[in-house]
Amino acid sequence: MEYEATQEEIKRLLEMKGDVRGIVFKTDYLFVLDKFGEEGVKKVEQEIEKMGYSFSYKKNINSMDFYPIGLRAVSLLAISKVFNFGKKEIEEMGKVAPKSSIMVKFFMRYFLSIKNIFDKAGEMWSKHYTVGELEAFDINMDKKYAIMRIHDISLHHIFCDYLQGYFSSIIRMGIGEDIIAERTKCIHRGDDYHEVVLRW
Amino acid sequence: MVNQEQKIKTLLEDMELLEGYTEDLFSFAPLPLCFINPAGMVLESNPAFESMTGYNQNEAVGEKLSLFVNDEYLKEFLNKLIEKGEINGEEILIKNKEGEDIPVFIFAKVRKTEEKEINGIFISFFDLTEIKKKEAEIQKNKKELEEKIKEMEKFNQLVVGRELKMAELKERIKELEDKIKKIEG
Repeated sequence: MEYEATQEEIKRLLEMKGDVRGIVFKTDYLFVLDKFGEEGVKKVEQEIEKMGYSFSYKKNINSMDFYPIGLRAVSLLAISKVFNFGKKEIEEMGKVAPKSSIMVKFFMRYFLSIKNIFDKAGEMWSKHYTVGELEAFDINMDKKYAIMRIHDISLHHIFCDYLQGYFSSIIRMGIGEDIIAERTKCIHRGDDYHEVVLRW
Repeated sequence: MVNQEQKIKTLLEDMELLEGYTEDLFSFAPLPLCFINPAGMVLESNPAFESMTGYNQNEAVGEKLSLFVNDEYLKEFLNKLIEKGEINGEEILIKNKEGEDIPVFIFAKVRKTEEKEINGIFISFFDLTEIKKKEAEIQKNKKELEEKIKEMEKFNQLVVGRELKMAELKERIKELEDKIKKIEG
């Protein structure tokens, strides 16, 4: 199992300060529904319940409402546990998420170019999360890379893998080329912030 | 008096309804639709587009429109759109997931920012497959009919020719009979 979390860790996650918009759970739900059907969704909800949180993706989640930030990682952990997902699959989930997110659609008018997306990245983050900060650190069109940094948020490394896929999908939408994403810094590895380098 | 919490709850419910409304507008449209950015990347597609192309939302969104249309045509199409602002019913072929060509009419309109910068293109398609099938059927029937007419004409010529020959022969027999009568008489 690539992603492990002890009961203490789950407790810490669920007690963390900060909120996340319901849309992230909706994209999780749509991914699981597409791949494993209603039965798969049920298994994940049961797993979340075992972790100590009663939760139904369909009944309790409003895309625009706010939920405890730790639940973001808990949902991913439950999905990875039920379907034995590793880094590759979690990254894939991250890649698929922007394609069905209403929040991303709000920003589509800015998807003119990678530069526009890059400039709006911080704003997109704050529409999803009340904690942490996404810094569009550097972009070089000639050398074909962009660097994103996330500060002041420490959930679980499963979330980092998910975001890696998410960022590459968003950037791909603007540039139309395959993206190679690499996590060069991570709070869970002792760095001060998370850093993802995206090359095309 | 409605308190702050109730107001937020109502607003959230309204936003959810609005979300459902915008999603339904796109999802239930019977015509295949997609929204692309000026670089030609598909940012949104609806279920009708998915059934026409065979690519689901996760496969279509984030891909270039050249996955479905010829690269050359895409360039020409984008240039024309930038120049005219819209395209109304141009007949083209798009490729589905199976690699088959689907004849369609394409309609497109650009969306601009307040600064008149193009920030997206709405595209709809009208699938001509059934119409083309009917057209081909009509053409086939027309051809068959023409061949039948030709056969009839040929037959007619043969019959008429035979009648003329018979009349000629009858005439000849009559002449010969007359000659014989004269000799005998």
